[in-house]
Amino acid sequence: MNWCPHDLLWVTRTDLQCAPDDSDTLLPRWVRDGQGPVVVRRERVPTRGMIAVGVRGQQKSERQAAYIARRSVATGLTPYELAASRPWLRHPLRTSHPVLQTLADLAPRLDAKDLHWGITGSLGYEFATGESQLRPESDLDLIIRAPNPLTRCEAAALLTQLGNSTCRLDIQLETPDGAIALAEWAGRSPRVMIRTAEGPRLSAEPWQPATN
Amino acid sequence: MDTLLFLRPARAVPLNRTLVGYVGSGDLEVMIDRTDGHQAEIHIRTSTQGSEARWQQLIERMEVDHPLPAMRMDIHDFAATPGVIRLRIEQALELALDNRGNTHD
Repeated sequence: MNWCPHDLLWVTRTDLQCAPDDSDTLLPRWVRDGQGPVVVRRERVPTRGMIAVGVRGQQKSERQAAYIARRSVATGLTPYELAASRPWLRHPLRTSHPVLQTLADLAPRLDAKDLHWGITGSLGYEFATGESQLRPESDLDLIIRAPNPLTRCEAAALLTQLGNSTCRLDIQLETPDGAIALAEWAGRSPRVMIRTAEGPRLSAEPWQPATN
Repeated sequence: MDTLLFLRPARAVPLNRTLVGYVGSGDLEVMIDRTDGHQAEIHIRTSTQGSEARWQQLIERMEVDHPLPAMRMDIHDFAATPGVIRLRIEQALELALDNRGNTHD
């Protein structure tokens, strides 16, 4: 399986490494002793068979970048698989939390457009683990797979059609080279930021690979 | 949210008002406006607590490559990485100093 950014991976915690080729240096105790999946980060790792991941702790300040060998991954879940299982329908706060209300409203509209979309961020983590992550001020983080170019007009139209939500909505478009924010692509900025495995860069044509 | 202010000596040059970036996790918004003073006033609101030393270092490193213009710069940071912060500030400065008169990127 070729794991992609935002995928959640269940791994043997003690196999996590602080660098791709350093299995000796110990990671913080909360990382080694913690539970729950790690999330794939957008970073090209030169060492064969290693994946860049991020680890989430109990506190918001507890975030740790780490690396894991592919063979230490027991199982994984993509944001798209998560969305397909419609977990918001079973959430206890489904009728009261703005993020869940917004998601329930958007899901059928995204499906009607035949978009391949997924749930990322803290809500994705909560759906995958049952561990409470939502806070009153939480955003709704979604990802839409966009293998083919979307014009800026199409992006603006999509954003309008998705309408006003009761929470902040962060939709990223996953292009073959990396992710861009739908709202930035729909806006007026001639160049937008694309996050790639080599780091962020500005581009006027985010579906074109970097030319340097 | 932490609020930080950095004042740096700067040169007075013509500036375009500029707004770049995106209000979303791991990103930031950078606004540049004109000022009458001879300083770069950098106002930062960040969701990352205790990041003052990191910002100070980042601004000092930026000044080596780009002498700062006299301006008011407002930054709203949503836990962006140093690479993203630097990219967005450079994007904003490029447009603010662009003498073709563009006001937005």
